[in-house]
Amino acid sequence: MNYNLIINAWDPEAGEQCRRLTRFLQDTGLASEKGNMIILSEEESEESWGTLTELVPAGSVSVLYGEFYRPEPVLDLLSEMTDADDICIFPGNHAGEELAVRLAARKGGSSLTDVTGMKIGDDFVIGEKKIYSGNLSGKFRMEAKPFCITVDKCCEESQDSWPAGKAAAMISWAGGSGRDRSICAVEKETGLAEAPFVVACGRGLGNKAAAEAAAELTASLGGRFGATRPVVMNAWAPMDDLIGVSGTMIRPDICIVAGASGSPAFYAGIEKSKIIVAVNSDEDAPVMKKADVCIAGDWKEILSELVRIKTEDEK
Amino acid sequence: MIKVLNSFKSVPDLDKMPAADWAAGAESGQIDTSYLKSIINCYDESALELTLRFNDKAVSEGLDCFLGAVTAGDRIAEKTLKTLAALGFAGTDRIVSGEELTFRPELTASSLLTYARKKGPWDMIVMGVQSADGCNKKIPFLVAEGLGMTCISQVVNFVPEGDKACRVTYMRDGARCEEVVELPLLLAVGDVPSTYLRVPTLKQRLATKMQVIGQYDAAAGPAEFNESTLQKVELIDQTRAGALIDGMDAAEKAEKLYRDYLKGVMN
Repeated sequence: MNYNLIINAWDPEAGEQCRRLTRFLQDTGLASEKGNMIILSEEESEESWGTLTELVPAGSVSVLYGEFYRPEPVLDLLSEMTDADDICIFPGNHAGEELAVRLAARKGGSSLTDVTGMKIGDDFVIGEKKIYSGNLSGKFRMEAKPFCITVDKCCEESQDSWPAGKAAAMISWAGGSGRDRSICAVEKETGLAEAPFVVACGRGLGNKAAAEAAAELTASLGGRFGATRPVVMNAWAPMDDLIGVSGTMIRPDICIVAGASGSPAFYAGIEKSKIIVAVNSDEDAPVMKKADVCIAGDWKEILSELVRIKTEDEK
Repeated sequence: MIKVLNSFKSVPDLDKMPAADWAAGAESGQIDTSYLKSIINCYDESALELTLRFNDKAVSEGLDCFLGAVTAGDRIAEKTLKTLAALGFAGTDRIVSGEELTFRPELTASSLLTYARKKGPWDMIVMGVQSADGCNKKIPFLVAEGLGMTCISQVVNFVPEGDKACRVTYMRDGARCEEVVELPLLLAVGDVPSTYLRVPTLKQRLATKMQVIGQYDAAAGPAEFNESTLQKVELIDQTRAGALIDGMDAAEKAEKLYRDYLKGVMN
């Protein structure tokens, strides 16, 4: 089967996405097949996308570019460019999820988002993904080509590299239908993804004041505060603090989980932590079994004691 | 008049499902969530509340809106439709299907398309980007393709710009964007803090007590998209050692935690 990798270069994590897609190709045996890379860019200049070509094994490179990305004109071009392709692989980001599903719908193909693994048959593929909020994994059979999938952002990344590719085609897309447009970059350098020590708090904190107290205690411990979806949805903490599939995926040396039940969508964001410590007043909370170490008790008392002990230890 | 259709889904509160039930369900291949409390899918709830805020703004600017709400699912969702009627949704319909729709987003989208065509045309269709149970992330995109509508996903706010356009704020990879887009438009709402659905007053409930919950037969529509078919489910094992730190009090437990695990990392 031949494949197309379709990457949007404006994603600040485009490099990681390329490495993830490459690892996916390697794990599924597609890396040795004929492949193309289609880069979507809001800048024509090679500076904005050139380095991405070193991160994937695809043979040829095409670039679609335009001033302001809207999916509809890009889909028109992708529909024309992917006629002879069996599999179109997108990253598991906002643009990838939308384009994969809509491209399959336009081409009479089939789609699956957040795929974690794939087996390829003669004229079908079986894609695997998390379902039921991440509690279970499901295997889905896709029979209609093109198979348009997105790769789950929990998947591992390849560390391999290839010689930089040159764009065989440069095609501009038409502008979308909007006006009075503005784009404000979201600062992702919050340190959460790289922090070696994180305290991740859940709705068991109870209120905004408690979340602020937890953030202060975390800072006193020299850690980075993070939060579950219910905490940020209640506006107890900013969106930047969100950990999980909707937010930041972390991999610290130690992650203390305080007042969170450990829902799978959140747990997916911390599962690469070397050591997970759960602190929960409910000894039977699901998170206790998903932790390396657990303490049944009040999160505030435990964190406060840790601050005291650390302060004394440093004297 | 701006005609707005909200599509929502009632889902089981999966956080309340014991681990043992997931394991048993995976082994038997039958996941029973029928005993769990039903809640509005969190993304759809944000979409409904944002639509009500859109309506508030439109009314304050002298614009007329017709709000319709539709769900494809079992009878339990009718309670939510009653609440939505009290909150100002003049159209409240349920698509009735004999099929299990949880992992059949293509079929669900086909039903919604047939409904939307019959009851439309709509100036705006609003829904959440995904649901917690199916995790498909497909339905808004399939509906947009089926209707040929401009689609904006990961929406965090939208306000009227007259009766022919809408100012939409949305997230995209690495940025927050805002633009004015002409109607018709499909909006897929993402993560939006503080958008729990407002609670109607008793007076509002009484005023709409007689509003009919319409029933729409899903079998009336053809399947419009090829499906990806669920073949098998498996348990995801996330268990770790779970070593319990004992102690007389918080101080003793914290001391052990610090000494054995944290000291080297924190300093």
